[in-house]
Amino acid sequence: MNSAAQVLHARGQPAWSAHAALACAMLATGVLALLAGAVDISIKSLFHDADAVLQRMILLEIRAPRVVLAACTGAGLAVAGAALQGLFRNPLAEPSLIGVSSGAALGAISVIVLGASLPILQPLASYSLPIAAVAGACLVTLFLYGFSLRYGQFGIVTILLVGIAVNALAAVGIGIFQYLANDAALRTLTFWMMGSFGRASWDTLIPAVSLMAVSMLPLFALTRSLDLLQLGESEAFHLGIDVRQVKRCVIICSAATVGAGVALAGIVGFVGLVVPHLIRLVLGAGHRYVIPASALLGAILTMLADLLARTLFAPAEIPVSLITSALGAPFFLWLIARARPR
Amino acid sequence: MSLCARDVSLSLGHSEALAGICLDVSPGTLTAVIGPNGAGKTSLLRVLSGELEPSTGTVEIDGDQIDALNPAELAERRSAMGQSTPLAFDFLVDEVLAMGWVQSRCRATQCTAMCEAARKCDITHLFGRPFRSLSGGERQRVHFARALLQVWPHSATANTRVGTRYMLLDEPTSSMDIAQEILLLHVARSVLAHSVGILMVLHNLNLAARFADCVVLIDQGKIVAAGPPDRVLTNDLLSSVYRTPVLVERHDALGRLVVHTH
Repeated sequence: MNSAAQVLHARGQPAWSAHAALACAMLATGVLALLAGAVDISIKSLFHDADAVLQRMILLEIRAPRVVLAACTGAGLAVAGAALQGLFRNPLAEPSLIGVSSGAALGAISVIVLGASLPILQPLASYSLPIAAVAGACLVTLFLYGFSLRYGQFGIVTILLVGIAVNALAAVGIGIFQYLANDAALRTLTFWMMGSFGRASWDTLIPAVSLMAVSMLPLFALTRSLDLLQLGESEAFHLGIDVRQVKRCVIICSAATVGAGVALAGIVGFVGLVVPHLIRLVLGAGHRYVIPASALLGAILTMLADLLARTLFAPAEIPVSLITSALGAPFFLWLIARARPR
Repeated sequence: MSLCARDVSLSLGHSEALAGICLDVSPGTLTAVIGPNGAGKTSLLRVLSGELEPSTGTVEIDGDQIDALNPAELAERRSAMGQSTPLAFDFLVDEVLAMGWVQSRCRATQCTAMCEAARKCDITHLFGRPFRSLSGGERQRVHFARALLQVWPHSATANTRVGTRYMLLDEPTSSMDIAQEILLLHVARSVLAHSVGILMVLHNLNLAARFADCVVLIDQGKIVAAGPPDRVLTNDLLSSVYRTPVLVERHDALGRLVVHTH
């Protein structure tokens, strides 16, 4: 076998071990996040101790939904970030930076505020909230894509400028709803802006997580299309990709993934930026590695961020977005410096 | 059996990019499209590849209307190489090459074909390097190899591919040095034997004179002349279309036409 063939055969082998390692790390992080917290839980005491009932309740009813929500939201944001970056062919496309998350937040907030005045919506809240958030996220993503089609391909930084505008518009909408909101709704709104997994409970979790799973799955099947799109839309078409269909699918699926996450956890910044880039640095740019590995690392990172958020100043909690942004913002600066045209 | 345009016209905005184009690309032949900047060469390629729908007229590939085929079916029957977009991420050269593989998922077949195509196009030594670190000419070689891989002739043992394939190349040599230009054209001619038909836009008229079976001269969206190089590459035709004096002579030592500008 000559050396070129060896190069080709070696491709992909490190990726499998990396995926396996990430999966193990995710499980370990999950267990750690379940056991650590304001009340420490030891596995032994769950079965033997006198207060096992209380501990089991904390574990199953408070901590487990929270950890599941953190893991799913992180995975979803990272996968959506990777897919949007692929679609826009832009390493800086990130759901919260380009306004997709704000769009989702606006949708969710409209339901909270209107729901408070329209009691009919209240019992449907666990469904109407994610639906409104997804609708908001879809609207923004479609707008961004339409804008990029009409005014030419986005330059690497233009997308951020458009993102500023979209975020500002969403802020106007959010401001109007804040003005309309009553006190109870206002308290809920505040947490949207900062992000938190603290409100997770099984009955709100299940619809949102199923929506996230359903909308994330197609992105795993589109990895080759996303690769080919990197050559440009015409080349992707020449290579057999139905470009319009792929674009529509990526936009709707990533927006739905982000929207479902935002509906429950609010805006968690920078996960969709940091995670895919770390994966690309290690495993290369091929989406068949970037997408699944981002899901795993996104889950790990968010569970850890949530763990920090609730243990650093326990029993008080800090918003999880403070932690992800503290990690993400310097990384983002570094990316901008690197993305300058060479 | 051919890739053919029948009376194709294309309007882009208010201007007419193509008007009444009739063209046949047969398997086993290399057609060169020449003409001044903005003559409609790229538009013609994009219509032939199915990327743009003609305003009037039809494009057929081996008797099938091109708009009746879906992108995946088209991709098995023709490859295209456009003027390339820069990549946003660090794909490796062999990953970019692998993007051209549209056939069976059999990994071994793909590997053999990729190595062979890379060897032909002299890009084997670039495997494993980030695509973005390559020079313009090297990038073109990789893209050409990718287009070649897409129409790769089947081996006798692997699942056999029937039918003819076509390659549509838009200025594939525009950033290459003279040696690489010649290499690319030799590789292109070598695949003609596997029932592949090639249409390429060329700016270098000497390459067209030397390698093309048929030359199509386009100006302002219309075909001015089409035929064997010695019929199309004439002083009068070229001088009037390019609006600059052109001298074509037969070089006896080389045994072919040579094109000069005054």
